[in-house]
Amino acid sequence: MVKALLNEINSMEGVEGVFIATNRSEITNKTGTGYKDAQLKQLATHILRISAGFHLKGKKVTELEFYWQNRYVICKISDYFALVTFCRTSRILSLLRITLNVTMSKLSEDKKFKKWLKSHIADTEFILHKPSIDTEEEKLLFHLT
Amino acid sequence: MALVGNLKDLKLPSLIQLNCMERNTAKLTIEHGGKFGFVYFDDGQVVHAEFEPEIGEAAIYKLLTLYSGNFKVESGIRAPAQTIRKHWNNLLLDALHQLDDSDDNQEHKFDHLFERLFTVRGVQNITIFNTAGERIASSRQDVSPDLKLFAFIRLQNGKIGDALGDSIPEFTSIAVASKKYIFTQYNQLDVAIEMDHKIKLDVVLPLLKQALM
Repeated sequence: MVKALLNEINSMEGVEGVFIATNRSEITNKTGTGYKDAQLKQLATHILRISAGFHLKGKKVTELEFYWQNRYVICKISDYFALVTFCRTSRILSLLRITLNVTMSKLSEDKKFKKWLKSHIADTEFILHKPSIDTEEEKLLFHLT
Repeated sequence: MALVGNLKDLKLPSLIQLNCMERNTAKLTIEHGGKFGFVYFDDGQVVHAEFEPEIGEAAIYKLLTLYSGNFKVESGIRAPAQTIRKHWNNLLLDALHQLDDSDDNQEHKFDHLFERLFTVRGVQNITIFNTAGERIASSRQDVSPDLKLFAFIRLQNGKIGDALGDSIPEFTSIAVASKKYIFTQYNQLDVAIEMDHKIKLDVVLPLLKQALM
């Protein structure tokens, strides 16, 4: 089911890959992306840190979008995982957002996925724990807590 | 009937000019970020102004720095005191000269940028900050944004660019409950724009881009 959902997203014109990362930034499923797993893990880590940073302030992030000149990274965030999509055109962003919302709701209802996820997740702020953060991050985090 | 509007649409110099040329006796009330300012006209002359803690000409100078704020003009209300004796024409000219001279002041340096950004529907607050999480300028002095959080996001944005072998994203949008936070750069400075959550990014981002140019 998960693979089929990701394939559906990846088949959209302009989409260049999609992956799911747990809130430990482990890449669980991916389709189409040309990036190495280490790169995706690094990307997921920083996306999840943004979400965790807001969480420290009592705010819940649901969507994150990054825009470059010809690259768009669209993320949906739940309590336990992130769905991250790479896109090369802005023309399909509206449709992509709708598709990602539907996918998120289907994933949240998928018993098999939820059961598997349970053994791989951590608390929302896990991603901010030492020793994975650097001193600059640590300094700023000190003021957030 | 009172004339109401926003300084974004009708600037204070024009409002003063209008009331003076019409030889009005009126009270102009301006609300900006929870603070109130008052300008009184008597038979087409500016006779009194207040904008806490300033009164008289100093209050006019302060009010002229506002780029947004709701205003109301009520006819027939007389000033409680006379603190300005200068002819309205000279008052305006002196004030505008003073504003030009203070354009380099850090406090007002970004006023024009804020003014442009506020023309985009949904913009609620703008903060310019550095990577240490210190405020450089802000459109609202009465709101304390999470500057350390903004700096933390800025840091993560840079690392996201690195992870993909790219530069820092041109725009980052973060949806949080009733708000959308947009992070971007302006003249190598970091900008956080708080927006209404209902905005359509596809519509708003090109407008923000234009306002930031």
